Amino acid sequence: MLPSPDSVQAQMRKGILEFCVLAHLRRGPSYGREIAGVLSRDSSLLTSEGTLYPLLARLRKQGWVETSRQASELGPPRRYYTLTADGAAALEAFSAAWGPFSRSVTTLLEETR
Amino acid sequence: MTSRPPHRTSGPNERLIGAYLVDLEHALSEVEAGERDDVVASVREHIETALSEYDREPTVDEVETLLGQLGSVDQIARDADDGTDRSDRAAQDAGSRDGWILVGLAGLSLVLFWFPLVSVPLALGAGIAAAISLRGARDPANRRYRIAITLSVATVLIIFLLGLGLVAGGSSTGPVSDQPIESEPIPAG
Repeated sequence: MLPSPDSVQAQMRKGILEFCVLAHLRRGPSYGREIAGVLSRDSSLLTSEGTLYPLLARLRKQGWVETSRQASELGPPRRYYTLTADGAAALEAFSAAWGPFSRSVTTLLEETR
Repeated sequence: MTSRPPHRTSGPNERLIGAYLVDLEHALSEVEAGERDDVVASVREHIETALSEYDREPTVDEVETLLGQLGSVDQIARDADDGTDRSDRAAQDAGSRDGWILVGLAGLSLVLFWFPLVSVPLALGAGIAAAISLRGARDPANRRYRIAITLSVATVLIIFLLGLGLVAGGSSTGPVSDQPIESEPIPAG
């Protein structure tokens, strides 16, 4: 069976999306719907907003993010996610690996076009 | 955990959202309870936040669009399941199996208490292994290791008390003398 662009993207998202969330949180604490909104801007990153929440639960379990509840002027109190020191270290490790990795893939694809 | 619909909804919207959250909870039934509750609560909060952005009651179409953006509950459940660390799950399964084996061995030592040469080493072995495993174990294997330890301690205690009872019983009859008992002659007449 030939893979579709969607299935290729879905495979690539696994293992990468969590670092996109951490990268967003590097700007500062953020709540679920806000994170979903940022990642949904580019549909290749997040196709279904609900799938963000199992990922956030895992990041919290790993100790890469922590949560706090803050009152909102509009609507109910919100759960804010904050990057922890371990999360920041994990993001640094990913950033260091991602540059050479993505360059190698791009180079190979272009050379063999 | 029960799923309740968020605020600012009524009638069909409330039913739509309530049904979505109940379906989500069911779809996540294979996921660990803490994570499941976390995901359902987060999705509910997402919906509440989205609804609070309206300055009126949203229409049914708008609520359906919102739920559509969240995606199907099966897709969310698949993502939750995909993300579970396989080695972590395998370790939990192994821990659970080992816990049951140790409970079985400790239980066997209790059943065989009348054969102390077998049951004491068995109880000690199972108890020590359970105590070591307990240090790194997580619930629910944790509980099984505790049961194994309790059964092992009970076996050793019962055998110890029985042994003590036998020794005490033996000593209360007094020492048996090797000397022949001299009987007093019965006076004649």
